[in-house]
Amino acid sequence: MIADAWRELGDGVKPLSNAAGLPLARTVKLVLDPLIVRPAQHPHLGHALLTAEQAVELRERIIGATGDLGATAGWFILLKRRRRERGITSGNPQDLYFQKAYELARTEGTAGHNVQRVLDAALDEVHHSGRVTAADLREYVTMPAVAERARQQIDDAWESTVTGETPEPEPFATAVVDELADGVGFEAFDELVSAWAGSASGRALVVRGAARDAGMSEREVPVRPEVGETAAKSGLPAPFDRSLLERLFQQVSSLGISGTSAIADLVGSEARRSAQPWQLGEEPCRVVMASAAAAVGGEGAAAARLDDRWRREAFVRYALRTPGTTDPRGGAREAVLRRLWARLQGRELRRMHVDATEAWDLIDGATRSVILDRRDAAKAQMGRAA
Amino acid sequence: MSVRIGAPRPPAWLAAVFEGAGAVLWWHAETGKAGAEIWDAPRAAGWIDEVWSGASAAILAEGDAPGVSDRTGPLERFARQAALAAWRAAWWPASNSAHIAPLDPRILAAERLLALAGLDGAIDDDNAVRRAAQHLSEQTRAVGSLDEHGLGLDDAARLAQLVSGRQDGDRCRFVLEAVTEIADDHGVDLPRVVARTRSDYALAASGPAVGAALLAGSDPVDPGAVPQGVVDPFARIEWRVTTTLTIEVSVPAAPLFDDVAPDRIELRAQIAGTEIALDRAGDVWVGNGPAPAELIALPPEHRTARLRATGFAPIDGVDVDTLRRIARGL
Repeated sequence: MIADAWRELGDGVKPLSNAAGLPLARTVKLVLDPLIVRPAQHPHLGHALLTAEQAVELRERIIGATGDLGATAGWFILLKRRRRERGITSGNPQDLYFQKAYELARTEGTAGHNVQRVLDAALDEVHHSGRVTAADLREYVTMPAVAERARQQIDDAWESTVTGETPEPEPFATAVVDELADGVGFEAFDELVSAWAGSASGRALVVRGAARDAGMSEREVPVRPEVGETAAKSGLPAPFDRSLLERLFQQVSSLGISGTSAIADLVGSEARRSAQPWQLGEEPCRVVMASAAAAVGGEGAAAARLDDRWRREAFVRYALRTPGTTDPRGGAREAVLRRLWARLQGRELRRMHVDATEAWDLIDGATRSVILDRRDAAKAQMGRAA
Repeated sequence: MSVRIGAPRPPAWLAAVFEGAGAVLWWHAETGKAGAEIWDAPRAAGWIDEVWSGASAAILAEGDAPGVSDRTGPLERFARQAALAAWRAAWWPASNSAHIAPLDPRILAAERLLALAGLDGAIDDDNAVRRAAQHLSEQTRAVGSLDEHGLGLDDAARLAQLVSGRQDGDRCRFVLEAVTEIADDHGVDLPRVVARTRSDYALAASGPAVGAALLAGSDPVDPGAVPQGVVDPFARIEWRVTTTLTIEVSVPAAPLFDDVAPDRIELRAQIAGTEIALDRAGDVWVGNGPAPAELIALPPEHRTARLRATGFAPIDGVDVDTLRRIARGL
């Protein structure tokens, strides 16, 4: 559907299209979905299979944005050109400028002549040097007074929300994730959200060994996080064992915040998040985690789809002549859940709400991401064997 | 749950594969016959008709493996070339003995980058283009920048088919500029690297000293036992036991593109179960070790030689003559 409507936009959106004139992956992810189709506001348009009526509506939304999308393409080209002139090399231009180009299209219309000032202002904003970086964050949270306050915030949050009771683990409705895997079940997902089923599943992780089984902790029972003094991308602990600094340092520079009060807010909200079920702040995110825990290694249709991924991976590895001697699937369940948790936490930090239509893509995407990383690691391992 | 269309999936070592969003496509490396496994029909429906016209209808038919249409769409070339570039990177049987020259890894990487960029939005990995650009960047650092001279007219003509836009001037330059532009779009800088001083591998060739042997034997290399670019797939593993009860082993190495230092691989020969570590010395792998007395007592048919690479699971059934035919385009 999207493909057909997109084609009607013509050559004006070529910079946002592939060789067949279809939208690029990031055109869909950063522009079409969140800014034009907006399934969060129009959930009926987020379905994989649309009714004729919904298809017409979707097409109208896309065609209705023809002017904006053409202007977005124009601004994107100009931003890239100006980036090169200024010798900027950091980041991925599509990731950094697609939404900015759309914003300019909406505020400035089609790019005309003499737009250098606008372009420079946009680039300055995207690459703004005043933004809080990982180093700024580390420096901040290691100041004794700040660390003490953050410690107190963690303690307050944990004491007010963690009851110490050991709840009975409730069986999670795996039927819902099986439906999500088939592109349906959105209403059932929403019902789970309303019923706080994700929270119930998250609270059950305090049972001895449960958080470890879910890949969330190396401990039998998770403990309050530290504030943290150091953080490195490699060798990050399991999600619940990460310090606040380790939970925030990779994301902070892309959040676009500046000033110490913004960092203080960020640290405070992470302290509160750490005391929530699944250590996530939003119920839909918790339901996604619970769904994934049920699907990965389960027995239903969702599990079968994920198993199919691993079966294809075995074939592709042989086709690419990179079969390792270790089982590529060893420990994959925990790895997938950890990857998913990090993505959901990242969404929460960006205040990007998760809805039912995205749930399966998030679970499937985390699995795919783990598969690709393990393929790369197997290749690197072979080269390092000596 | 999934639907297969077109030709059956070949054995992995003959499969050129493109991993699309919702569908894995394959081309038989020798026959070119195409097929696919559609594992998420709604996702694949967004693009697969651009590869094979009417493929979506074939998916919906859900009958017995419907065929793949001969009418190809604009993405077919991109998917096929991405798949074949990956196959050549994995399976190209570079060999001194069979006179099959190694391929330029930068051209393979550039071809894959251009093809995947054309497929952006239809790939089962939103970061595939960036990964391909990073791979080309790594190859560039290892071998040197790809320039008009390195690309050559034939490769440029093939790669130019993956680039849209007017091609008035120098085709090589046109292709190289497109490659740089795509890498740049994904935040990957292709460094300008002058070709490095070559390793002395080609010059340092040496084999085991020739002397009296108590016992000797040889077996053909199994290309499925080792990663790409390690040994000459058409060669034999030669071994002998000296009068001092030492096993000496030698295997011709795979020729290296531009004699650039190869990846380090831990390679061992197993002679009737006795493991001998091998080192690459020029264009041959050599090694020696004590020969157990039992070896000499073994009947000849049990004195077989095979190779093993650490961290690599052998791939069964690889036929070296088929690889030769593919490489020679027969």
